[in-house]
Amino acid sequence: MDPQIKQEALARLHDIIQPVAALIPSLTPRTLATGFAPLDARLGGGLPVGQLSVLIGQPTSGISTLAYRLMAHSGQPTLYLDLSRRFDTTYAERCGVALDRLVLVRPSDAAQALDIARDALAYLREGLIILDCDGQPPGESLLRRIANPLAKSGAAFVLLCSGCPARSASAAAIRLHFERLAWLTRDDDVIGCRTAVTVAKQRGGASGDAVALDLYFAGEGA
Amino acid sequence: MIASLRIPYFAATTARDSGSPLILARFTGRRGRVYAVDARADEAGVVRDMPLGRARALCPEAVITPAAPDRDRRALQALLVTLTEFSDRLETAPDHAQTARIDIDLGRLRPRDGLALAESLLLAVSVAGYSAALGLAGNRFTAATAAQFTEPGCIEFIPRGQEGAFLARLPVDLLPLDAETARRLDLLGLHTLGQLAALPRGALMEQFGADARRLHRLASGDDDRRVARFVPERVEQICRAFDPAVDDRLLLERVLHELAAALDARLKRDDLAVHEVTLIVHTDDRTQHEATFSAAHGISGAMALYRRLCGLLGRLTPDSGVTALDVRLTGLSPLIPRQLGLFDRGVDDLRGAVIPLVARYGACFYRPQMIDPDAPLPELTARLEGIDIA
Repeated sequence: MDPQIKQEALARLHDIIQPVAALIPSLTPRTLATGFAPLDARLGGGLPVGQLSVLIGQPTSGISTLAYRLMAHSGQPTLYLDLSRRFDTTYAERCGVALDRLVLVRPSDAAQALDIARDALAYLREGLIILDCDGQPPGESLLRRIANPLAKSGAAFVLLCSGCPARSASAAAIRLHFERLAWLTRDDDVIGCRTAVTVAKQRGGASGDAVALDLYFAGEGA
Repeated sequence: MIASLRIPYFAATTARDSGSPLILARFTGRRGRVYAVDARADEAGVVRDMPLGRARALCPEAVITPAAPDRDRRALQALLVTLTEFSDRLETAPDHAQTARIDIDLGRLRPRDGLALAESLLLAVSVAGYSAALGLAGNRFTAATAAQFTEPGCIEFIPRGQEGAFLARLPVDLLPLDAETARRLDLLGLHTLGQLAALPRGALMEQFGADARRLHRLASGDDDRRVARFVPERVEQICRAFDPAVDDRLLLERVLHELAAALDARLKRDDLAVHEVTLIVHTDDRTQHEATFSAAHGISGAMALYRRLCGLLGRLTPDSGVTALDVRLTGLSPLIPRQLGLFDRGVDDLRGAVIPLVARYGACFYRPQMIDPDAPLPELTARLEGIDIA
């Protein structure tokens, strides 16, 4: 077939399918907005529902802040698997998290954390599951155990880790790398940090570019 | 043309309260460190971030007072508002405690007109109570450097085209260098801006990476950074006067409740939270008492504002009748969204999921709860309450 005719036919088909697809929820990928407009715009709306997103960054690079703001902004009930034992209730509340919509779990290891997540997914029609795993990220075989129940549920799964991304690389639909660029100060007080978020992987989209975010600790706007 | 103002000892000049050398200190627990000093303490060798014990030993006659960064910030804002008479393009460096630096874009001017404006600028600054040195040049880096090497009260003018010649003899550490670049420049024997500017830009970039382009341009007196437009800090203020004077605490608290509601309505209109609440109480003996509450996280809601205002009124405890209450809100920032849900189906799902999970996995499930957000110790602010299926 003539490539030009083929291209025109595909374009017409796309025009026909797109309005219909928008009416069918299962065909339009649902996302949870992070509340940071530049990042949401870059990710096509936010982090995907029914898939795994991995946030990688050293402590103080802003991954916890983004997770808390995601919980607040998305409005979803959240199961927070705190493997790193670093969950900060006061800071989460300051970031806008409604504590009555949150259950904190402190599992003994990554395998138990993923077992709990898999069982919870069977009950959740919507929601957010965050696994903060600091230095001991679960291996790909463990993550694959939740891939099926996650795809069937209406929940998003976010993995926060400070390193070793290769072990969970291919299971993720989105992988974001966080790097702190500078501290933001006011009158000698550190009030936040400027972080570069690099989209290292986005399933079905381009990757490699970075978005700069200003994250304020005291709960100011982005 | 860019005018760069350097105002040394900004915080100490703002605090000016005695003829003795002045040291402003910040306290963390029992330990104190120097926040800012005036000229005489500076001459005695007291520098910023020095422990107070050492500062006292160097300058025993100095008066030590607590620093007030909020007051300094307000003073700088007031000065900037004054300077908008000259240009709306004003920018200040974030750290202004020891030395405040203000860059002003005066637009395209002939040198004679630029110098006349610069003299008016110095006069305006001195009327505000500060003494400034002024650098005048075609770009920001050269103007700021000229101000740095000029005495307060004087103007250093660098004509267009002579920037490179002016900068050539000055030390290379005037550039914004990181420690590693500074070390390597020193090892290579590059000590002046002129030496750096004389090198081919390509060779410099090969050695120091892409950032060397900017350093080379600055060293050559070429700086294309523009001065941003100044946006004055937004302040919300409300006042209620009484005639005759009121000394009934309950009545004053009721008025504060009304004022808090009125201010909250204004904040809600733009989805703002407030970081600094100031209450000024005017009394019938013609004095005024002022107290400020600073919140690390933004306050929003009429009730929260009312509670802070009652706390401030309790701190002030005026002896005579109150003739007016003045409330000022500063440090306004966008309110972050709260986690809400119109339909709690998801929460019910979560609660439903937790019970079998607790039964299966044991006691590792918690419900985080806030106890007292203003408690002094972290362990008193929040707690994790174990979820028990019984």
